[in-house]
Amino acid sequence: MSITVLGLFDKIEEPAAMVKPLEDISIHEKDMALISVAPYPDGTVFYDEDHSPLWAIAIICGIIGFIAACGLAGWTQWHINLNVGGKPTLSIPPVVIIAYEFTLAGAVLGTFFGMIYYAQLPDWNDLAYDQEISRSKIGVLVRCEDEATAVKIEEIMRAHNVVTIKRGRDDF
Amino acid sequence: MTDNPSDRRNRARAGETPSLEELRGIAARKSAQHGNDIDLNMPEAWLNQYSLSPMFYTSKAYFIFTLALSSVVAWGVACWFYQIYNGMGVTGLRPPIFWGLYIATFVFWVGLSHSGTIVSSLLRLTKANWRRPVLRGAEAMTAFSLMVAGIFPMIHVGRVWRLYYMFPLPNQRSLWPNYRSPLAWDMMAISVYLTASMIFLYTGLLPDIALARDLCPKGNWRKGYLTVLSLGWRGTHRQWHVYEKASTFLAVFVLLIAPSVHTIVSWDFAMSITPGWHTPLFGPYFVVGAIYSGVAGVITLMIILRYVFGLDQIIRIMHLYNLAKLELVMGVIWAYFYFVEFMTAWYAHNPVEFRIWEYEWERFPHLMIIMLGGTAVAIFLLSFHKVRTSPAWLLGITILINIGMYIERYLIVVPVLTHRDNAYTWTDYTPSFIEISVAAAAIAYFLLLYAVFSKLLPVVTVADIREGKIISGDVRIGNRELRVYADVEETL
Repeated sequence: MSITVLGLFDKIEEPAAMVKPLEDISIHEKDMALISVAPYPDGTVFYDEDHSPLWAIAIICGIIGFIAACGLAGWTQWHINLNVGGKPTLSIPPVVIIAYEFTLAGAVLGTFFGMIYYAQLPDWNDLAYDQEISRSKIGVLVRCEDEATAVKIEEIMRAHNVVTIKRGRDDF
Repeated sequence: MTDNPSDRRNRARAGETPSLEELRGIAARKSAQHGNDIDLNMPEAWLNQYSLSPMFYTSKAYFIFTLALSSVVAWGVACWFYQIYNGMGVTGLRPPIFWGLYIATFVFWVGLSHSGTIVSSLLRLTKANWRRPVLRGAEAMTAFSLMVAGIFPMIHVGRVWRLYYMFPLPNQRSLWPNYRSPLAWDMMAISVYLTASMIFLYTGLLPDIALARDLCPKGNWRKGYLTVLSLGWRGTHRQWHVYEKASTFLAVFVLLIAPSVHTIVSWDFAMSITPGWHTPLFGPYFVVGAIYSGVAGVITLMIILRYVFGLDQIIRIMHLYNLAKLELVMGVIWAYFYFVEFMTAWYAHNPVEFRIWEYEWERFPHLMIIMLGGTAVAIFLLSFHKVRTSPAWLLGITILINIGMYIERYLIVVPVLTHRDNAYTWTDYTPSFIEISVAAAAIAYFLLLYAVFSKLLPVVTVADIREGKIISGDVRIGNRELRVYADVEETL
């Protein structure tokens, strides 16, 4: 079972300088995570290798919305066959309007639920975290496999002015 | 030596160069007038406390205010129930006038909702860094305006228990909604817009809810729902990465939905073959009017939030100044559209449309003067730098604009129906006390929603403001200190 070490820092420069020493003890970037109260530009500490296909989910859900709208506004017109105001049984402009709205509704819902999924939410488990992060401390999570490495990680953190060190569980 | 603008111009013409002290003085004054951007040296703990203070500190005045609003809302609900019990006869609606104050109020609130998300999305997408303190207020305004607007079709139809006829459910005769009707499009468009706006608002709120969860004192009753609503957000790099992608996508989608909604609302009118309504100009005219009205609404709310919650260190004069410039542009565009509409009816001398214009001036001269005069006054005053940097002036002007826009909605709906093609059907319409009470309660309901929201969730985008602090800095260029923002490339 892996061990997760959480270090809290005052300034972003400290975890940024810590990446190289951690790599030197064979900790890969994918085993590190930054936790902050506001987003730091990618690469400030390390690059995010995640390329979640949110756009694909948005497009797929948009297509589902489009098909649903065609079914709702098109098929029902055809099925009920109610002629009003001299319009044809299947009038295309209403289908286009409803399809436009539903396509975008699908894309919005897809984006939102995609975000929830890829951000690994909701997760109310007691994962490695400290409320001091909300007071602008910068958290660095480092995952390792054994106690000896965890001790080395803590030493590196101390060498980089860590304020608090905690152990915890994580699933990043 | 004085340094007023005319003196400076004269000295510049004479080839004199202003001294360094003069330039410093001008820069300092301009800075004071605009109100600098948020102070980068603001302590982090103070930023948290300051931003979340509207949630956690409640004055006695707040309770009195919400009680007063609740009373007005309760009165409006009572009037609606009275109308349900007694039928639509208690309104001023009589054949052939089936649309009156309720529909005008519905159009007004849908319009007001527009600017919130449009402004927020546009500023996000164009990476306008001054946007940050404005976003939450604007997005919440959209959601709450739509929640108010959505009630009016229910009130207007009278038999509210048959509302489900509009849903895709088979009714007693196994009929479905007629999707060839613009009213069905309207229902769909507004439902989609409300869903998208709520999601947009919630997505922006997510990191700030987590912040409030962490800073919420132990034992405070808010802790429970903040924990649930934050979904366990921690702010890991991965979460921020996905969040920013999603925010950008949502901004694009909402920007595509918003204009379509008010265009569809305009088609409720324009798709009928009624002179005065049946014009292709109606779609863009409604959208422009909605943005004009909405930006005014955002400015009004920002000023109220600034003073009621003492957020003057976050909502700076600079933010109001920039919004006022946007409002000036929208005012000019709206006036242009109004002029074009008038010009075509007047110069072509279409007798029916012309008669509607005449009737508007005969029957409602006071409303016409408030609407057109209000816009003219607003455009004139907003052209002045001093007005754009004065919250008091801006508050007055933006309220005047929205009164004018409410009247505009009323004058779109009513005169056309009272003076349709056949002169023998011409009649008059005056809203009843019940209708006026319900419309007034809508304003109270909107304010009440906002007041309750301010106590439950953060009204300021703290994470966005912090991001602004992270990517910005004050640099010295020559003798001036300037705020610069890093151009962070998005990774989508």
